[in-house]
Amino acid sequence: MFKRIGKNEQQVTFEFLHRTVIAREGDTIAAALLAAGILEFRQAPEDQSRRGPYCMIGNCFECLVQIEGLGSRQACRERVRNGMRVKPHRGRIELEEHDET
Amino acid sequence: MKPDVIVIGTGPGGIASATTLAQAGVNVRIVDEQPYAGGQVYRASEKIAASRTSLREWLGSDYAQGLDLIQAARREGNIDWCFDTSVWDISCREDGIQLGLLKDEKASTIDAPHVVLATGAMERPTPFSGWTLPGVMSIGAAQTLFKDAGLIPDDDVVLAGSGPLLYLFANQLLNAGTRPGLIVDTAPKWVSARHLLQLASAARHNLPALYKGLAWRQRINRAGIPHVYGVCELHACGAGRVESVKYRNGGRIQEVPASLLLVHDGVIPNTHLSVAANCHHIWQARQRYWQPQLDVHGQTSQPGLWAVGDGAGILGAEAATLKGRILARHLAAKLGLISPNESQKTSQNDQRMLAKLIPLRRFLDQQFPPAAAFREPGNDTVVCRCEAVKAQEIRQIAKLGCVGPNQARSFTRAGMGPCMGRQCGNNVSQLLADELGKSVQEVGYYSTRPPIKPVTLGQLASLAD
Amino acid sequence: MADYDVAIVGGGLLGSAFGWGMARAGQSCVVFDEGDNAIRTARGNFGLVWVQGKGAGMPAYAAWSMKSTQLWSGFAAELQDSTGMDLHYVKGGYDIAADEEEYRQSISRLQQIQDEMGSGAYTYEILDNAQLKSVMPLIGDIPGAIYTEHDGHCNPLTLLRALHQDMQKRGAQYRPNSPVTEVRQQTGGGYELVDQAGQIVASAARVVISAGHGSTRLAEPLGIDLPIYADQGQVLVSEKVAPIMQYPTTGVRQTDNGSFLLGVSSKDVGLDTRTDLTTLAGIAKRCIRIFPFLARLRLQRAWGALRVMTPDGCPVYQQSATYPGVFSFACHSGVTLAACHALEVTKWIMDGDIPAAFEVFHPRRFHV
Repeated sequence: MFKRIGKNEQQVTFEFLHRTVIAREGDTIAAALLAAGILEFRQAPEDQSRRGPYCMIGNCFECLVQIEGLGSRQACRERVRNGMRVKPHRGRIELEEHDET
Repeated sequence: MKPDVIVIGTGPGGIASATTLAQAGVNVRIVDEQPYAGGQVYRASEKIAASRTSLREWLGSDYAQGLDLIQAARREGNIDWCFDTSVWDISCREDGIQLGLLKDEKASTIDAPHVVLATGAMERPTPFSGWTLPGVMSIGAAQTLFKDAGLIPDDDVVLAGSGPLLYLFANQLLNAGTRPGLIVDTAPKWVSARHLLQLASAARHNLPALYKGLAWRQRINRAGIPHVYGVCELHACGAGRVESVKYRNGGRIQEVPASLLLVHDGVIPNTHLSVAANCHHIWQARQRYWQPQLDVHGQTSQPGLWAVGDGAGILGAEAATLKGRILARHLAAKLGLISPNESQKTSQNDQRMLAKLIPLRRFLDQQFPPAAAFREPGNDTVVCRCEAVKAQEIRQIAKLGCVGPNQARSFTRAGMGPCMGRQCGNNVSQLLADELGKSVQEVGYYSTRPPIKPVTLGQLASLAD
Repeated sequence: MADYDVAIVGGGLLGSAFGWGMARAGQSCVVFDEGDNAIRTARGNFGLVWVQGKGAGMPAYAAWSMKSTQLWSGFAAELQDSTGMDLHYVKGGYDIAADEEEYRQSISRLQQIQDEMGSGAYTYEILDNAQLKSVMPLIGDIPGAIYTEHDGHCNPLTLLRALHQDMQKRGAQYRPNSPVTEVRQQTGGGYELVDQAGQIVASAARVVISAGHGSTRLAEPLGIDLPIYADQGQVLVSEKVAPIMQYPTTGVRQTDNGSFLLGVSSKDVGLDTRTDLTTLAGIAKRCIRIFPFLARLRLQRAWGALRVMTPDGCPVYQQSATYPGVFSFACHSGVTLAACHALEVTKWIMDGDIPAAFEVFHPRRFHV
């Protein structure tokens, strides 16, 4: 797993599946989740296999999560914001989840 | 103001082009999906410089060079910086090149007579058994986490694959106080006799770089990190996440526990945009990747669309910088801001320096070829991660008379998922080529369609208002 | 002696349906196809098995489409049994209107078709917004739709793959990367097919030209007039969503893997399959008016494909008058008519005769 180096910078907290994650300001969501020990971000729609970030530069689309009700967001690109709500995808997108605000 | 040139990417190739263009008086807009300049190689340079941590020292001197390059660009008034902006569409038309952009959830279009693609490299997405398990990541990904978020792997991390990045990253980890549990190297320990000639040539032109590589290896050795060479088989194992790594060198299969497996099989050009723009591409058989076909100045087969840096063929950051400057001078001359003569003269020195870098690259290409064992994924190995298509299915449809990746895509869904074939494209073409007994060039590559980056239907529809 | 009973030029939805039907009937046949980058209408298909709105001014086409949808379930079941592939054929579909103008047009066109079909007319149901909302709660503020149980949808890519796989299993030869450039009469009967290099690649007693946009240049020297042109349609696909829409509509349908398909434009741009943002944005806007929830979905892909269009939009079926045994077939409803093509048209080819009732599909209708 991963550990943090460097000093304790400005903290941001957000929610991932009913869990509060403490991140550093400027973190990507993927970095914040990995730092919190979360490797699994979603289940693939085709075979329900568990997936997590692979490339971290926007090419593999394995880190897709749902952010504030919008699906298929790249966690390696989106930066954390205080109080934001992030959820993993369980296979295909559920439309109700989408309409949650 | 309407830009004369749009540069896509703020890595060394893009930054160097933009700086030189701006210095010549060209209005440049530079677009990057990250919030800061540097591309992947110099990622987060400005952030790290401002953060008063030791990260910069740990990352090493090559990385530190990026900051100077970025700061020089920052001083130019003619550059319009567009960060956090993704390019999701490109269309080449007679009246110029149009890009579809997305920033702050708003879609827009922009066009310019000239667009420079400086899209950089990506790691070769080599499939192997278990590579979709959470906890299997690329070494580049871990490096990104290192630079961007100050995250480093724990001591039980296993590094696997081949290439200079493998050794560099191990050294960066040692700098930061982590000692990798094992290095599984698919390259042989020694330079083989048939590559000695290239080695000699590289040494004549670029001895310091070779020393650097050797020093990285020695340090790994001194730190007592187990380093297995000549590995020909790799498996990530675990239920729901990686728990152990199996590998074969010689006749024996070994298994070691690991909470993280970081792999690297060299880098290839990130050609998604140039493919989407319908540029001609050629298959580079030695390193097994596609690169856009360019004229001597760096123009693709689409007029007004240029490519520079590793996205146009892997030569490394230093070469990207030099090529970026040379291309920028040519473009400035084309736009009438400097004379062609001046362009050529001022580029002579850069051309000379560029020529010195080639022999080193040739040696590296030969010493670290894509791992042969990985090139033939087992039937049960997932090739297309997005749609969970296994190698076996591609082989089967080849027997059914499927002669290329586009038919394969519509028959198996490989390449139809969110990554749009970025991860499986080369592997599917290679599998078909092997199965059909043809070259990858003959078999071809996916035709790529918009969107290049995510955009919602609502954002797209907003363009009709 | 000819190598094959039948040679088919074209491996798209038409050619594959013929090849499959021929092999199924025990005929020896070969199917010639182009390479990976051929203009392949079959790969850009929207996947509707559709009757509504087809055949205004030509009741024979309306009846023919009806007949095909009647045969479709059995056809799909047979293919599925043999290949193990699910074509995801679902019956029931809505011609949905984004505005009053579209609504009025759809209703009056359907009324005209019904009048022209006489006793063969099919049942349908006009739904206003409230009625439609009770079966499709996700619609926006739109006038309504027309429903028929005869319409439906399937997975067109699986259909093509199943046909390719099963026709070979049944003994048909499939030759990809093999464009045929000429068909010529053999001395002593039959025809030979010639490739770019001038080599004879096969001989056959009968020849079917169903090579889409590639048909014209082959058919012309054989005294066959083929008035077709390329009509470009662009299609958008969304990310995958858990199933919420069982039945297709004319502009939007949810596929078996969860994606929504959004269509469909119509443009005469020659043989150009590129998409353009104006068209794509227009499609997205119309579909979002019908189903507002689509706005929040991510666009997964977009593409352009070239329909094989005739001046009246109806199929062209013909046998050469001067070269008997050479047939040429073209249409844009390769999915809907796949069942008829596989099960009915193959009989005409074997009989060497197009029944009189289908004379109306001869292109001489364009010259009256």
